[in-house]
Amino acid sequence: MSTEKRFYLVTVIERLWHWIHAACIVLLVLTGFNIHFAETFNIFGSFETAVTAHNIIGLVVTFDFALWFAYTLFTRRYSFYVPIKDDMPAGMIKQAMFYMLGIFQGKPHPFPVTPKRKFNPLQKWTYVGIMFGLIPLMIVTGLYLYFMVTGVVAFNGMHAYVLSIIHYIGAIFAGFFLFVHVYLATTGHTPLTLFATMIHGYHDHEEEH
Amino acid sequence: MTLSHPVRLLLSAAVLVVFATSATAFAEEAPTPPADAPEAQPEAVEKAPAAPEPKAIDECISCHQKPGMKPAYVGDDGVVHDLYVDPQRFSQSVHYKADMTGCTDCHDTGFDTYPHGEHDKLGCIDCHDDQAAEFEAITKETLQSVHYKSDKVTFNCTVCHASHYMKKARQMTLAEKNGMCIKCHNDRFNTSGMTLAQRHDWHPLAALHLNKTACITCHTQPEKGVSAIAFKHKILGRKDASRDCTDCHKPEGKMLHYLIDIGEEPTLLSDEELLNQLYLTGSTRIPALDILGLLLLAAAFAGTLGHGALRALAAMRRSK
Repeated sequence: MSTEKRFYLVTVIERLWHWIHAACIVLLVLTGFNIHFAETFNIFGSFETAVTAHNIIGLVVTFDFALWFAYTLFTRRYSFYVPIKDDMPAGMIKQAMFYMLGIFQGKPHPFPVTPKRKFNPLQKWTYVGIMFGLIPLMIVTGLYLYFMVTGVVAFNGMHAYVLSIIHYIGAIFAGFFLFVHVYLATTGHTPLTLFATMIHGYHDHEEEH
Repeated sequence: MTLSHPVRLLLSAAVLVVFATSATAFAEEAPTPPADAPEAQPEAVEKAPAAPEPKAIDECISCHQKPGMKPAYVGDDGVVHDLYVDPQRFSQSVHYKADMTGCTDCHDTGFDTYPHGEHDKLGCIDCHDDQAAEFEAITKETLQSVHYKSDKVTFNCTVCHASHYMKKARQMTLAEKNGMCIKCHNDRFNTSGMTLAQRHDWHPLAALHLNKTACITCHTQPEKGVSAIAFKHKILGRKDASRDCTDCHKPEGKMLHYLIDIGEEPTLLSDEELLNQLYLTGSTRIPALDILGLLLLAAAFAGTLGHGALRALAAMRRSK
C-alpha cells in the first residue's frame, strides 16, 4: 500500500507539550493516589515525598498547559477543537457505533484524520472538555489549595474542604481518561501507529483502512 | 458518697505508692544525718531515734532529691516507683501549688523508720471528695482499659499520674503527657521487641504523629454520654485504637476532643496550625466518593481491557 498520503499533523511543540503532559499527569495521578489513600498506597516511600512531588509536578503542568494554550491560540490551531456539523449528535452516534460494532468488523474509521480534521466527534468533545474544562479546573483548584497551604492566600478550612473534594473528583476523571486515552491510541492501523505519530508527527493515511 | 466496690478499691489503691513499699519514701523523720556526712548512709538514718513528729522537707530531700540516688525501681506490683523527686517538676505540680509542699502533708505515716514502713494509703478522693462523681466516672472507664485488665501490673491512678508531678492537662507539655505512657511502654511493656517508631510503622506519617500528638489521641475513643476526662482513661490496645485517618481528619472527627492533648486550644489555632492539625490529609475523604471513584477507574480498566481483547479476537477471526 502506498504511503504517499503521509502528512505532517502534530507539530514539535504539540508533541513536546503532549509528552511532558503525559508524564506529568501519570505522576500526578500516582502521587495523588499516594496522598489520598495514604495508608494503603504508599508507593513513593513517604507521604511527604508524594506531597512534594505532587506540588512540583502540578506547577510543571500549569506551565505546560500555559504553553499549550498560548501556542494553540497564536497558531490558531484551536480550529481543531471548534465543533462543526459532523460533531453534532449524529456524528457522535456514528463514532460510538463504530467503537461498538464497526471496529470489530474491520470497518474503516468513520471520520478519518485529514490535515483539517484531527479529531473524530467523540474525541473532539472529549478534548474540548479535557483541555478547556478538566485541566483548567484541576490547575485552579490545585493552585488554590497550594496557595492556601503555603500561606499566599489565607487558609480557610471549608474552602479547602470543598476544593479538595472537587480536585479529587477531577482526578478520578483524569485517571479514567488516561485508561481510555491510552487504549484508544491502540486503535490505529496497527496498535502502535498512533503512538508513532505522536513521536514523529506524521499521520499515515493508510492507517485508516 | 456511694461508690461501688471496685471503684472504692481502685480509688483507695490510688495512693502515693512511694510510701507503700519499703526502700522508698521520704526520710522524713531523721534525727538527721550528721551535718558532716552529707551523703547520709541508710545506717545513719536507721540508728536515729524514732521521732514521729513531722519534719521539714529538708530531711526528706537529703535522700529523695539527691542526684546520685537510684531514681526508681520496679516493685512486685509491676509498677515503676519513683524514689527521686525532681524538685523543679514538683514545684510546678498542682499539689505543690495547692500548698501541699511539705512531704508529710501527704506522707503522714510510715516515714519514721528505715526502710520506711507501710503508710496509710491516700486515695485521690480522700482529698478531692468534692469531685467524687468525676473520679467515679474516670474509674468506671479505667476499669475497662487494657491497663486494668493487665495481669502484670496492679493499676491505680498514680501508676500514670505521679502525684509529685500532677498537672492540669492544659498545663502539661506533650512530652509530659506522652511520658506517662513511654515510661512503661518504651521497653518494659513492649512485648513486640520493636521500638515505638517501628510499632507504628504502618502509619504513613508515623514520626509526625508520634512527635505531635498524644498517645491517647489514638489509643482512646470518645464515647457518647461520657465526659472527655473519663473516656480518655479507657486506654485501648492496638486492635481497638484508631487506624483510619478519618477518625480524626474530618470536620467532625474525634480530633476536636483531643486538641488539649496535642497542646492546643481550638480557638488559639492559626490557620496554618489548623491546616496541620485539623484539616489534614484524609480529612476531605468521603468513603462513598472513594468507592465510586475506584469503581470508575476499575470500570475504565476492565472496559478497555475487554474491548481490546474482543478486538484482537475479531481481528484474528477476520485474518483466517
